[in-house]
Amino acid sequence: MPPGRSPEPAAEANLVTAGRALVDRYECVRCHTFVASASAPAWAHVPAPHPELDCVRCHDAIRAGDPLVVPLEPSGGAHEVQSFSDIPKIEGMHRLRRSFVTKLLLESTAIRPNLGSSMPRFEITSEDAAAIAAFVVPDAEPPLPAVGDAARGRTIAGTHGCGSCHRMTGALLPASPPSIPLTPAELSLGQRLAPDLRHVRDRMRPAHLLEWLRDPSAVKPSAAMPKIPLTERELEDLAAFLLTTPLDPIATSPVPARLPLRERPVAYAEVNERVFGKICRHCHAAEDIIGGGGPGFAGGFGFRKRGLDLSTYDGARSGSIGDDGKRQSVFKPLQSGPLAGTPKLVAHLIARHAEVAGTPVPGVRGMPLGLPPLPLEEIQLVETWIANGRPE
Amino acid sequence: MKRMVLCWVTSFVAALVLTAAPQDAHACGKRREFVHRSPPAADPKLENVRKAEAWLAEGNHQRAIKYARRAFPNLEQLPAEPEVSPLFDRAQRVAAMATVHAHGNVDVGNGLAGDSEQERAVNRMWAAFVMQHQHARHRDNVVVEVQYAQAVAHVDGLEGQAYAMLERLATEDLMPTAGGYLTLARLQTHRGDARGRDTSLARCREIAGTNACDLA
Repeated sequence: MPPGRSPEPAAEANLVTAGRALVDRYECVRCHTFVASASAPAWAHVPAPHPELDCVRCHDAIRAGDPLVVPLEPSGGAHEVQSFSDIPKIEGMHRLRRSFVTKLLLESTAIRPNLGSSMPRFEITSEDAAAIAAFVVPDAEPPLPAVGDAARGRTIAGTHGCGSCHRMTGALLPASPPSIPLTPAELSLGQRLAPDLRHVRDRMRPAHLLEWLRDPSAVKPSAAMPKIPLTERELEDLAAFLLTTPLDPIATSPVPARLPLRERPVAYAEVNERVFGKICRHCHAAEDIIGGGGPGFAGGFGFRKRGLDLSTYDGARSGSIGDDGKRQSVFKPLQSGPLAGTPKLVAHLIARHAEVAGTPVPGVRGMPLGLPPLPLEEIQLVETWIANGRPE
Repeated sequence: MKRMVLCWVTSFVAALVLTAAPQDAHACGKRREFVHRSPPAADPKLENVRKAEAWLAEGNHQRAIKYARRAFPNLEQLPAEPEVSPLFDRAQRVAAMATVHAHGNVDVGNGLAGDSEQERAVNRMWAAFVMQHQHARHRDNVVVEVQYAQAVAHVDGLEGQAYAMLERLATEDLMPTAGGYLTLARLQTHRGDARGRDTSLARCREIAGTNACDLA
């Protein structure tokens, strides 16, 4: 059992109520589906998003080849936002530690190594994060259960092939095929959704971990994890391994170095084709585009309206609305901080690399929001275009 | 008839000069060009507005107005429709900017074909009036703001207002179009600001190349 941990009490009622309103404010439903159940009846009142604001399901439809949905990009648009697939449903959340949900909302930690990051890095206070966590995990945590032997648990993990879907950063997770038959589709889905087991001890409530390992779909009907036949003792041993085996510290990856400006001229068409039109305009488009221009134009995910339109040349040159309510150029160099002298637009793209490396740049939110960073060559393209005078 | 129209337009222009811009009505519909349900119904109004925009970009001002009016026959009127649509706004901006670029020498459907300097001046004032309303409806849209300034720059006595708007946008590096810099350069020339003019022309050329930035 993780040392020094006591069960979480039930969330305060006023915090739960506040969290319900914040779920709307931060627009959790643009990506997640809330599945009501007997233990979470309030979720029945969390409405689905307006279809024009439903980024995930729209991209799912594009990916599935739905003939009723036509993407703007001639390529089909599916490959640009692969991260918007298999977003976990909000269901069976009582298994999670409320403190973990709070931390996730504050830091947008990516816990599914094969899914790619897609959780937005919110502009959220710790109070708001705690309130949302209270809404999704209102219950008290059950008493800590007895767990077994971690060494035996490691062997069980190897025997049953946990490593065929999961990783466990900082610990040895024996690799072997799954002990139960899985179709290729089931295995593929499992690999995409499987969390890094390193996070289990912070993420899951031990009593519910045992329930989960016994039968995942009994806890979360939409769970991709299969039911693996285990004896009660094996369950306890496996839980002991997941909760207590020593973990090496995570090695930090350095922020990659920026590339120098290109020597050849770069025009807008190339920047638009490779960056703005491919990624940015999903959230930064004009107000009369579907979805009201996206959260980066009209506001959304708790962000205020910024009015930044990167779907057209004129729009990119029109700047964005600053914290003071006035428009400002997105090409203007930052005045201070580690990215001083860097054009604002470029700074946001570089800051995403820093966020992924675990060293966020103070005051500069990484873009694309929550998604994998742009390749350095594409940032170089944008920076060169700006340095060239932003030719059309 | 022409005299009546002249009086009508002039009364509106007086309102343009003397009154503050109306409050933001902000009518925003959805254009459904990003992702749409298929098969998309052919929308003749949308097609005509797109053609109008294309002709405006080509510099064929009268034809641009023709297609804009084909989409919205009464687009010269203010207010034109019970519920202003984004598509109507686009069409009306095309007509207004075609009028500005043609120095008023077009027929926008108000009975004034631009045959005399007086008619051309009234047409230019009509364009400025239209753009004032457009700017009021789209406060956040810098492109519309620049178009408004370009329209105002062609109205006698209002050049200073246009200069102030464009100079601010240029200073803040928010000028979205080469045309905005070109208009600013023209105004700076009239003010005897050769250095400012050269800077504006240089910025114009950075965006659009030399050919599009000729003051002559």
